[in-house]
Amino acid sequence: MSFIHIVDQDTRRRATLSRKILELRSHAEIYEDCSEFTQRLPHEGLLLVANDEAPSLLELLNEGSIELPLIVYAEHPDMSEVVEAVQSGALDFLEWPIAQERLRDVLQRAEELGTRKIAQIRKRTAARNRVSALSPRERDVLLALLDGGSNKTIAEQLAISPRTVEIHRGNMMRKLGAVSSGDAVRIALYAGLDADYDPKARP
Amino acid sequence: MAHEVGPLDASLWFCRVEMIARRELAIENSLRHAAHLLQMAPLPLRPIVRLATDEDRFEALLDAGDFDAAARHLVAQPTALTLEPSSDGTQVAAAISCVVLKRVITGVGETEATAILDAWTTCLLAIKARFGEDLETLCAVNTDGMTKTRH
Repeated sequence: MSFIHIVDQDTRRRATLSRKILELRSHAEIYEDCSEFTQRLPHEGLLLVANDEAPSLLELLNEGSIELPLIVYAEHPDMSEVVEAVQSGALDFLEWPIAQERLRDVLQRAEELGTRKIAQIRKRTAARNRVSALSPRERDVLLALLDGGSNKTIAEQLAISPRTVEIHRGNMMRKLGAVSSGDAVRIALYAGLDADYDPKARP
Repeated sequence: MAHEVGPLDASLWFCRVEMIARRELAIENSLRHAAHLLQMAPLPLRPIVRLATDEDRFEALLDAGDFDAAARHLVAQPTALTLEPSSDGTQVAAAISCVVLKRVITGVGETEATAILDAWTTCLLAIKARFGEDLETLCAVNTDGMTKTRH
């Protein structure tokens, strides 16, 4: 990983981290805070972020505005902070001070996994954005389609006519930009709709 | 003209295959969802799995209630699939010859459709177990001269 972007308000930590990164033959770019980083918004490298700045940057990551793998660090982090950061898309969470060997291993792993994880986040964000444009009924139709429902069974399940299902389905496909039912199901899965489905409602 | 559907991440894809294997859905829904999954198969699997008919014809078979015929289309190469009744005649055994795994994968069910789905999901989950969830080693096999294989 040649470019490491450090976002941290603590000048001493930034300097220490820059020196360690230099020793690993990578280049460190430093930023005072999230807003300074977003002004420049680089598209290459890896983000090392102090925990104070992490929530804003993770939000931008999930919106798709940031396309870099992101690692958070903090002094004495509690478990809930670690879980929240990783669930929000952080590749890892390190405890400060970071040992040189640990930093090297993490950067190496980030290089291997980072690109794939970012691609996944981007696909999921795009899918969620498309699904958010659906009306409640269109979303219901997509949920039923996700579990292999036909127009007829979806109509029975939602207590509407098959013709109405067809209309909702057509609108849903258009809003999702789906080329087929299978494509709509793929978008629903990326958007995480499978977690929303009530198994008791299954035919 | 049929549009190609982009691939789903392999981990998500296998989760849905596992759901079909657990028989959480009605047979018609399972078959339809299996056909959808074949459309969005992860890239390393595309040389070896595909729906053997187009979506409209598959859907017509489901609409007609011909689940057995629809299920046969889940196996890309018809000669790779054999079906026979169990010895007591109460069940059907399906066998899929999987060239990638170099063995025959079997499944049983009360109908041809359920037997095929059983063998189909078992085969795919065996591929996952053999090559790993990210299927990276399967890519190596595919580029090593097995791209023409069909299970």
